Amino acid sequence: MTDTGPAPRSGASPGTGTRQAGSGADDGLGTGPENEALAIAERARSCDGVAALSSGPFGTVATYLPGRRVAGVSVNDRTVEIAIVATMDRPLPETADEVRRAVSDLAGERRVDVRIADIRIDDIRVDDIVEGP
Amino acid sequence: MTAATGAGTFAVPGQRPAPPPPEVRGRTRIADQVVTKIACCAAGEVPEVLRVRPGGGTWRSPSSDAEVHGEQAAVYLSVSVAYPSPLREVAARVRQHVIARVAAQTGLDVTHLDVTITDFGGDLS
Amino acid sequence: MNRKTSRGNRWGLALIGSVLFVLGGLVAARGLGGFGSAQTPIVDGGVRQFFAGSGPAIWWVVAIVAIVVALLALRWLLVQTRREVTHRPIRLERSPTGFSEVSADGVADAVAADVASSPAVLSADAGVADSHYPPEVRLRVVADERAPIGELRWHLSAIALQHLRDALNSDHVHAVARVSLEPPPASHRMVH
Repeated sequence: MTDTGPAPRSGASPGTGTRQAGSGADDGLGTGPENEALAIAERARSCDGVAALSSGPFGTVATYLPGRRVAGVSVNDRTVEIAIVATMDRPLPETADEVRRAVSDLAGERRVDVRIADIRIDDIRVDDIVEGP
Repeated sequence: MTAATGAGTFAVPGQRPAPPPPEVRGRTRIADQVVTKIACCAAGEVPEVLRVRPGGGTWRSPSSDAEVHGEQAAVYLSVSVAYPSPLREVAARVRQHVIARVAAQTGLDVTHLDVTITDFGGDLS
Repeated sequence: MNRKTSRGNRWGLALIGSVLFVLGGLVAARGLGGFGSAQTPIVDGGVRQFFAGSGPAIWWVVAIVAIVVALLALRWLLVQTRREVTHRPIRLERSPTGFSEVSADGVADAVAADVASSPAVLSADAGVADSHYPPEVRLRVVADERAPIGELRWHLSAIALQHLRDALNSDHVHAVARVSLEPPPASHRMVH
């Protein structure tokens, strides 16, 4: 099981090519595995209840591409990890499920972990919410 | 890649059980500070509460404001309330509201909640 | 340190002082030649005979008396550290899902602010004794000596303590107020 996932992906063009065929049109991104993170980020950001992507408390959830960094998406052979800043318009599990659904075709058989790193609250009655120590 | 062809034979879709729907594939983790913020906002919605600060009282404070373990959360809050309002009732209302709010917004079960009333507002009306 | 502790200290110190005074007097008298010669040993044959004759039980009695004295002394020492005012939070509720508590200093500050809101009061200070519920409140009030004392009394019972009763949801809140009367400060007099 462990060796089935990575192989087609590391084989580059055939695997990504087919996936791109299904999703490439609306993403408007080039082909190739390095754009996978960008595509996932784009999809996640457009979900309802997602205010932004976040690289997590330690900046660990990010993908480094030549010349740029995609915050909030980290992809490996078995897992797609997405860290978001959510809005409070809907319950967080619903937002997480929507993100998971939105990237499901890009993720393929990989598991999609959604991390809600922060939330954005529009009208705050709390006057001093401080960050953790 | 030599592994590609080998792996390809294993990867025939028919040989696998149907994958679970995407919503259940993978975990959702909610950061501690998210729970902290939701709890603070919820506590602030109780009318007698004037200010909310995350974290416990001045001494014996826990190291964090909220801790999420799996499906459970522990939350520590300090509040200022209007004086004189019935402290026990206000504290009970804060507890109730915070627990309900965190459950509704995050799906987490607040198994531990400490509320410390640290001071009072000058609302003497 | 409360009034009871101070009284205990006075009595205890007076007792120990008089015991030492009497012992010192006896020693001085003996040195000056009272009770026989100063050269004869105190622990003479009679004393030895008493201890030897009463068997091993006498040492148990001595040990028990020493332990009792030591425990009394220790208790006296601990009483000195007991404070009139606590700064520990007062527990409001304990449930399986955690506790609710209120800061004792917060309660004290609120009561003091309430008391000080009276025009008859020049300054007020409050503390909470023990972190039990409902807590006992200690008040130190400096009042204007020209203000009617009835008004001050009314303000304390009908405003400050009533608010405290409302907040604590308890009809019986024990409060001790120490009121001192002072002339109003000069600036105060000029304003009015």
